Amino acid sequence: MEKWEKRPWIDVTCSYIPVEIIHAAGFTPRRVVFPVEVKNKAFSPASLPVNFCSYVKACLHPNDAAGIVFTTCCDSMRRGYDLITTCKKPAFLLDLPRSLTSRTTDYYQEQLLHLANWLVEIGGKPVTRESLANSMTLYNNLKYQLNNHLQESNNIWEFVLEKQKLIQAFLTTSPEEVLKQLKVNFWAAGLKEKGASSLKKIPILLSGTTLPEVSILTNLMESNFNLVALDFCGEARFTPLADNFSFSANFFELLKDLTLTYLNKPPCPRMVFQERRAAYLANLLLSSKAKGVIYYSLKFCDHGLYEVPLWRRICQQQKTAFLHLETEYQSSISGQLGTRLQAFKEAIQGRFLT
Amino acid sequence: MNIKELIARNLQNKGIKYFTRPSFYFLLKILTAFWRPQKGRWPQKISLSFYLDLLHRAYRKKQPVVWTNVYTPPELIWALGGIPFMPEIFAAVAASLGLAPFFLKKAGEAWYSTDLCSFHRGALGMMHSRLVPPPDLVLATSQLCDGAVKFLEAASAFYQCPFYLLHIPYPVTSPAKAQTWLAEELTALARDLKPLLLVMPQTINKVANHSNQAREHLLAVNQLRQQIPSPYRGSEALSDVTMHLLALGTTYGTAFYRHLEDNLSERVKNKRPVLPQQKYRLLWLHFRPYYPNFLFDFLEKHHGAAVAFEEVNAVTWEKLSVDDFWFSLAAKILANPLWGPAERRVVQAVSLARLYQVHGVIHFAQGGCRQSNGSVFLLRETLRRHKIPFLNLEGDCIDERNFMAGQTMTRLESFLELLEG
Repeated sequence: MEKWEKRPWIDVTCSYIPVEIIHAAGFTPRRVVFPVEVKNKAFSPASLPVNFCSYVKACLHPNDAAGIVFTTCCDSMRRGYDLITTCKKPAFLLDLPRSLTSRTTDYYQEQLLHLANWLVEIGGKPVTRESLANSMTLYNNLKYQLNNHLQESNNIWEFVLEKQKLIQAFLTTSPEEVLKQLKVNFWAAGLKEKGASSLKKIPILLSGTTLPEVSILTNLMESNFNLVALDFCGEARFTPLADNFSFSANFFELLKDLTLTYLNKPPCPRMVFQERRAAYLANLLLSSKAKGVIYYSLKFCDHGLYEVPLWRRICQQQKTAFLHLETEYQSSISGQLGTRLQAFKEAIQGRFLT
Repeated sequence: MNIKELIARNLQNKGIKYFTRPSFYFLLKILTAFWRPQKGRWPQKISLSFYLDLLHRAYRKKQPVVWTNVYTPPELIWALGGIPFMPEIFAAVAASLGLAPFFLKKAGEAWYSTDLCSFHRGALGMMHSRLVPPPDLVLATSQLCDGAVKFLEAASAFYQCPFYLLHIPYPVTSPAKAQTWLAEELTALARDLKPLLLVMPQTINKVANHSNQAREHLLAVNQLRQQIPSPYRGSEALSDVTMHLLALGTTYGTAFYRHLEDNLSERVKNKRPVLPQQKYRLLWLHFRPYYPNFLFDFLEKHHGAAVAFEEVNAVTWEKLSVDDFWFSLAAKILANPLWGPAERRVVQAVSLARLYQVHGVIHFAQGGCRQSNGSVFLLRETLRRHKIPFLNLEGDCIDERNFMAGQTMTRLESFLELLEG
């Protein structure tokens, strides 16, 4: 057994949580991508309202993790944290600001220090400048390689499922393990499938709040769509450190650099200001040359729902078709949604723009 | 044709322009000045005058209009020289006039989902109908819910006006530091807004003094409400809460609570409760449905169940300091038990239930309110441990289509039977 395989897991629920800190404290961070069935008796479905985010319900699923880190990213997450603390599971709530100013950066940096202290409280190692720099280097290397893979595999539809698997592995496996996989499996699969053609398929951009499920990807594949760009939480919104990034000799400065890296990443629907998000989406759509946008959100996700008018406006400006699909987290795609995808395809083919 | 039909018909055509003219509200203000209400109805007159004055000033545009969300202390904007405008409150006003369906439809036409909070959808509908005073700037605070921030951000984009977001620290770790940080943030905000608004120390003094006076009267009112039988109708208190959300820091706020205190004192002294037969006392959590409905008549008149107190009327903050205004305002914001871990709200609910000697607690579950509904599990469990009956009543404060009359009545009757047992 490799050394990293003995490290305890820490679950994370938001892509703004710097996994490098958790890794530097001697844990393996893992994004929650569990099935939705909540078997914990403390949280029977009746405990939570029906009109409640199913991803948060999934985060309450009991597992082998040593702890879980939430952010104040949404009302449902905050309540998820409240619930999980009642069953004595170690949990930390990271107060994530919505905007990017020098004061909010300092504030978030302080919150990250609280996170590092909490990790020590639950049995982790103190985070030092060296351990943090090592973890940052490791994750940066991984992000860099992953970005290369994703870019090379672009426009090759058969690759989408492979890409998804890889991103899921990136989010839920130890970085050392993913790097190993990247060298062995993914390259081999990539070389084999690189010749696949994507001609005659309709290029689309898929956006949403959590990771797209395999069922929706399969359905898209069957409906003859070609996925040319993705915009999802934790995926495609991560960027490696700049080429000229220099690791500061001081722990606090290094932490500040990490804070800035996270707060500067392409914004998610929760962040303000809307122009920054709108500009990001408009550029993504323009550069992808997609003929349509499928926006896939979870039911009762307020941030996701407020994004719909924004997407509609962008699509209207760029004369691109738009489809909004709403489902529960990890629920397989229904026949009804399949029909909607079919109708959407016909609308694009018939040049009827929504 | 009644007034509601007249307004609704005018909303559909050019008549809308009358509602956006300062002269319209000025005229109503003058007419209100001639109104001599019955004894005990003075608070209503003050409240009406306040809203007409607010709309008159907002449309007149002599002072900048600042849109903000509910639970942003109004003193912040009064002190900065602006006119605070909370669209969520006006969504409730529209609902009480029976106009909410029109605005909710407008929001739907602008692609806002029906799963979103109807307070915000109603306000968005009013915005798209251009039936609210346009903002000169939008100031959102990150408490209490996500919907408010997103809605205000959309409003700023719609009106092409500056948007400011005040991050309210989540009070989990080091509350003292959070207060210092927030006070600095407020000071910086006041500095940033100086070119847009008028910040004058004498305004701050006036606002702080008015707010403190109103607070004293509100404390007295809340103390009088501990009397059994209850001297104040819960349904009225849940409507009057808008005065504490918007009018604190003004002469209207002080006058309103002074008159209310006098009114309740007189009722207690002369043994004139609002309901002659009070069988049960209830604590109400969250807001109420604002459209015309039978809920409170059913509770009060049919079953003698008086809402003795509401969590939203609790005074949780200390006096504002004239010398260190921003620091004390930061303390007021952070003292709100509805912000932060749900445990704070639960602790307050238990303590209010004890203080007001209630027989049961009702939580009105507003359809799209995740932050409130998400704490129901903890509320239910804790109140059960304290042997306090609890009812989670699902409904909607603004959208009457989500109010199931028969189901609500059945659930209320079962709950009252439980109290009987």
